[in-house]
Amino acid sequence: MQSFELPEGQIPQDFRPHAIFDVHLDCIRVLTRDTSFCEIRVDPFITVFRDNSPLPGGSHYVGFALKGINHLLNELGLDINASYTLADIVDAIVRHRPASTMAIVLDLYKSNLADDVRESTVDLSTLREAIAA
Amino acid sequence: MPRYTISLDGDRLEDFGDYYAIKCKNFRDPVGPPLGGNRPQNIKVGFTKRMVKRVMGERNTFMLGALFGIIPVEMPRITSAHLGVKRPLRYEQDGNADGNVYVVVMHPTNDVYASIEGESISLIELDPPSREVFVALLSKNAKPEQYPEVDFWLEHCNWVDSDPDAPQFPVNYMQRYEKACIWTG
Repeated sequence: MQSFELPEGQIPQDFRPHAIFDVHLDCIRVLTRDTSFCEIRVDPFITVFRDNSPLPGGSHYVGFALKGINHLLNELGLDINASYTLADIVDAIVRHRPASTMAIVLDLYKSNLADDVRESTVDLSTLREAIAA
Repeated sequence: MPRYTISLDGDRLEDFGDYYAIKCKNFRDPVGPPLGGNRPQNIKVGFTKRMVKRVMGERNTFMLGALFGIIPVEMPRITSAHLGVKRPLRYEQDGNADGNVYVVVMHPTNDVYASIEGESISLIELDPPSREVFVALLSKNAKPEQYPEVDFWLEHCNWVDSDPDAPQFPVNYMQRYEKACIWTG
């Protein structure tokens, strides 16, 4: 049996839906529930997270990944070193990508995310500090 | 700030200060000549404490469970490796970084989540989801002189559907990776 001390930090009392930017994989991941899930690749730009144990009456999807964020911002002429709200990014994708692949994402986005997460800032610059860089 | 502790069965994880490292079956070196008998059986995969800290801050108990309960157990017995995720991926100056992402496949006997009691974390096992495989996305260690203990870094891990015609592989593995399969073992 091994025992490890984890890095110093606070684990909040409750899970809170959130969005993070993964600089190494160039994607934003949004997770709305703390659960085991299966990642379903919809297309090269979008992956949705299907709950492995959905709640009765609950959504079968608990999140999504928006991929190729650097590419997207580059195509749109936006600055990768700036901060954007998740709402800004979803809005940009909806306008830029084929609408059909966005249906599940939009449904999740509208029904599962609290306003403060939608409006939360996804900082694309300050997360560029991973040790493996 | 609290310091949480986590207990793991066995002796699978090494602590190198800023990161942990785990043994992984050697998918990197080709079998046979020119390496011949010098081919190492295992290589090392690391994951950063920065990643752990982020997951802790999200209270993502299933990802914590995966990092400490699935990855250390399953990395030494991965069954296949694939290369290139075929999607837009820019990392630093490399606009085609998707071609450098390795995907290794595992068949865990359990799903795992982390149960947090005060400052103590224990791993709880559940039945694994059916018709799914567990994958880890890895990148080569670009700074071996700085981190000599690690060959690859764990970037992400998750469940994916298994292929209906070849259930040992991820669904659509022939289409979804640049090199559909670079190693099996």
